[in-house]
Amino acid sequence: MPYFYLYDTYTSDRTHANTLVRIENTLTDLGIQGKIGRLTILKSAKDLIDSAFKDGADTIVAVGNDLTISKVAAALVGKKQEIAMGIIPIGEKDQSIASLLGIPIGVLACHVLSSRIIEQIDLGKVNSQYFIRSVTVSGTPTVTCDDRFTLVFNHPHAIKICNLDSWQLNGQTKVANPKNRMLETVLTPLPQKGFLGLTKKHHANGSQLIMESCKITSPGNSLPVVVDGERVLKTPVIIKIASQRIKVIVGKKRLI
Amino acid sequence: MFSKNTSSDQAETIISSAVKVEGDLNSAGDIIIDGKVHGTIITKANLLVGEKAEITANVKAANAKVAGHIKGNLDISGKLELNATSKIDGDITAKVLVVTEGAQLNGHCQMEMPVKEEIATVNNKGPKKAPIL
Repeated sequence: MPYFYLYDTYTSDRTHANTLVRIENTLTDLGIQGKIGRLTILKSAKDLIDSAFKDGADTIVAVGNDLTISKVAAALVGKKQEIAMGIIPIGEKDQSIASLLGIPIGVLACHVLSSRIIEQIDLGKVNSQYFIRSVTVSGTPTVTCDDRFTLVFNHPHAIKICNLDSWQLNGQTKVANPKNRMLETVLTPLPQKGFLGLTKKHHANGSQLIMESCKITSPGNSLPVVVDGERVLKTPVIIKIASQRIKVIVGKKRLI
Repeated sequence: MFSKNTSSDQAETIISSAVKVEGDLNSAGDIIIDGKVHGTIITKANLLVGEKAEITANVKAANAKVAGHIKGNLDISGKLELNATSKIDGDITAKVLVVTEGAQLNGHCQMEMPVKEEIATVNNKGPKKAPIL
């Protein structure tokens, strides 16, 4: 079962050197060592993964954080169904996906990888791009859901459309279900500037809805749409669940 | 009914007072509405309409608890509770109806009747005639 380890650029930082050595030793002890590829300005995740497939890899392990996972997941779309994605989180920052999937940070993640519990999860699609976590847009756009109803906002909202993500709503933490072929949408009112630039406090609570697809438009001006916390598109966008799912190696303490 | 089952923690759809929905709002899970809805509302589960909610829609739900304003007909297969602050401009169909003092209802109200077969069965089980000596 050939493994391919895709290291994100920030893992080459000196602060992670010791952790990586211990991870590589543990992987060898567990018998799941494999080839290593490093993301650089010149080498994209897609290039590295395509090359790994040619070498016969059937498990691609994202060594990094949420952004690394997002790049790997997007690159796995259209590949063979048997391909599984593993995750080894490095560093404490931006590790929400690993946390939802029950994968501990650092060396302990190697044991999760070795136990090989696999879940099939959905991917989202925004226009022609894929996402694993969520899409966010702020302002007062028009959101048409499932071609059945439209959301109209009195004042600016932060709109988050989640596939595999968590959010706070009215003091409670909630987690999206990435296996139900649906998108969870969270609408949070943004604070508005009042007299003399003072911030007005909003008493309205947040809203949430479940939908299969939605279209976000903002007539008159284009709003930035942030995909998986990294890529930026402009409205109008059509967001839906992708037809293809991906296999992910998860931990026993997963929240999904 | 609602105190346990329809907390915002479990509700599938929550529409706050800052949001307006235009169209057909369908859901398989519980719905909580504090904002405005213009269209139709259909859920197989519970519906909770908050005090500030303004709904112009025909509503169909398993159970409903209303504290806001609804312009439209309500078709509730289970229990309908109208709070003191509620105002309904439309007809109601419900199996069980609870109306708190102060609630306004402008429309017809029809309680679900037992099925004809059930009535027939009940009649057949009437008191036995005393034997003729």
